[in-house]
Amino acid sequence: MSVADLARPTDQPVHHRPERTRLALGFIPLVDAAPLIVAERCGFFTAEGLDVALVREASWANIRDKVAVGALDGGHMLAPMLLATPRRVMVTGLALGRGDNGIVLGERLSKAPIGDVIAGAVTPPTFAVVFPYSVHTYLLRVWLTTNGVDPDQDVRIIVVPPPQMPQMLATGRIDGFCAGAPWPALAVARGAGRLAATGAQIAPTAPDKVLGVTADWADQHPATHQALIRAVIRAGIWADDPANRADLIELLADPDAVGVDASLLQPHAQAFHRHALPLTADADWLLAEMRAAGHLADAGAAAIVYRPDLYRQAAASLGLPV
Amino acid sequence: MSLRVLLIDTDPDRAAAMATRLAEEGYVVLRPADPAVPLADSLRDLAPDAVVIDLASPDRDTLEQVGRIDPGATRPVVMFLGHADEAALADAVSAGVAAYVTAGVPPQRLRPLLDLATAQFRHLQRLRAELDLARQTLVERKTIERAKGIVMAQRACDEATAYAYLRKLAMDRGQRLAVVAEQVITVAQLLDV
Repeated sequence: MSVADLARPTDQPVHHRPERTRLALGFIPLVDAAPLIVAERCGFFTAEGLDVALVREASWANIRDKVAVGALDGGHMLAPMLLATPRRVMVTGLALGRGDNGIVLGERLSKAPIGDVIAGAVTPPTFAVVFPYSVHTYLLRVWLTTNGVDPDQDVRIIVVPPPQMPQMLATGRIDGFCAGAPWPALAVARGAGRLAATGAQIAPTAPDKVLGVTADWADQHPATHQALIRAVIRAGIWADDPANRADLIELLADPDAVGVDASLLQPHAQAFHRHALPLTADADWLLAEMRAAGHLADAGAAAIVYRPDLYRQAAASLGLPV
Repeated sequence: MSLRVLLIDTDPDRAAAMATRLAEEGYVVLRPADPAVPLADSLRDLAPDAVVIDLASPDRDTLEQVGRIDPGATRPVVMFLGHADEAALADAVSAGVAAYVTAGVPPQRLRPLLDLATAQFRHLQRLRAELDLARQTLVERKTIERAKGIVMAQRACDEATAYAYLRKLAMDRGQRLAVVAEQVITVAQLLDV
């Protein structure tokens, strides 16, 4: 499918017209925000009759709170953030890919196997993740456990904004981190550390970011929500197409998008549309890891938060397999 | 007992004003040591009772974790707000600020701190908007003076006549005086008169 085909307005019956057309969505500058950035820049929102302002936010907590109080209509969110019973019930009808996450180790942990370093260490190593309720926290915990390290006793895990991680690793303020693209590649390129494992190696089906809205917003704007999901599905298909690789990298490198050097961007290390269906079974992996971490996830949360039916409705209206 | 508040603000001028305001209200103000130090370490070392943070700071996510994934943290940080405080939270978010108290501090002490931070952010927003307006007015006044000078030279008239001419021009065109003055200057520059 060419861009022209994708960006053509879909024929919508009158009763499916969006309840609202002017929307504001928050995003964090990461490669997996690509479907949102592409939808805005390549006209997929416009093709659905939506006028979307993409707002670059400084923290996940900002997106969650702004969506909760209605200052944003929705946004790029961490799936576990929705499952961790936020102040307002939030739902997702679209996953934004499975991320391209990596664990990077600094000098202290690169000299010997991690178990040996810890056994001989006076102070436990410090690892950084992007948010407490994030796939990064759980990937790191699984990786540590697999390497014979107790994530609760043997190491300290803190939250550090990803843009600060490479520098803190280089200066030894932290000893390792788990984050999404482009930050692991950036740290390795700066010589701050080495890639020890990728998220795909640790848990290939682990869900990562989603397009989240409040349950109330979804109830009040069903047609807008469908239009939004359709636009982002089409943007994800565009982003996955190898023919669009150079254009996608250029879009992401823009200072208002992800804003890192194009040479560090490898968007095709992850798939956007292929993992767009938010499967409740994927949420089960997260819920199990959240419980193991003592993050008190309600087992019933997945059925409320994950709405594969919303994805299927949008995909069916686009003539895609569901 | 006065609360020890860690203040994190990306804007140094606003931070200074906020620190003064907090001190006036009897809070003890702490500032993070060094941007190169993870905030999680500053929290551990300074052990504040509360935190006020600018929403433009990426460090906000660090406050979400303390006590949840960092068992070494002495005092978990929480944003205690009941449903009755929903409007206060919305107001704070729209002003661009958030506040937290650490475990052990009575949750009812958060609300006055959050309200103060919100009011202070809004106050500064208003001051800056007023300053922008004052600057704009000053620039416009200078533009009108220059245009008046051009009209006086071109039409060999006095200042009052030149001003009346510009005003009539603005009214006839349905444009602001400053806009017409700008056009007069542009035309004069193009014609080099």
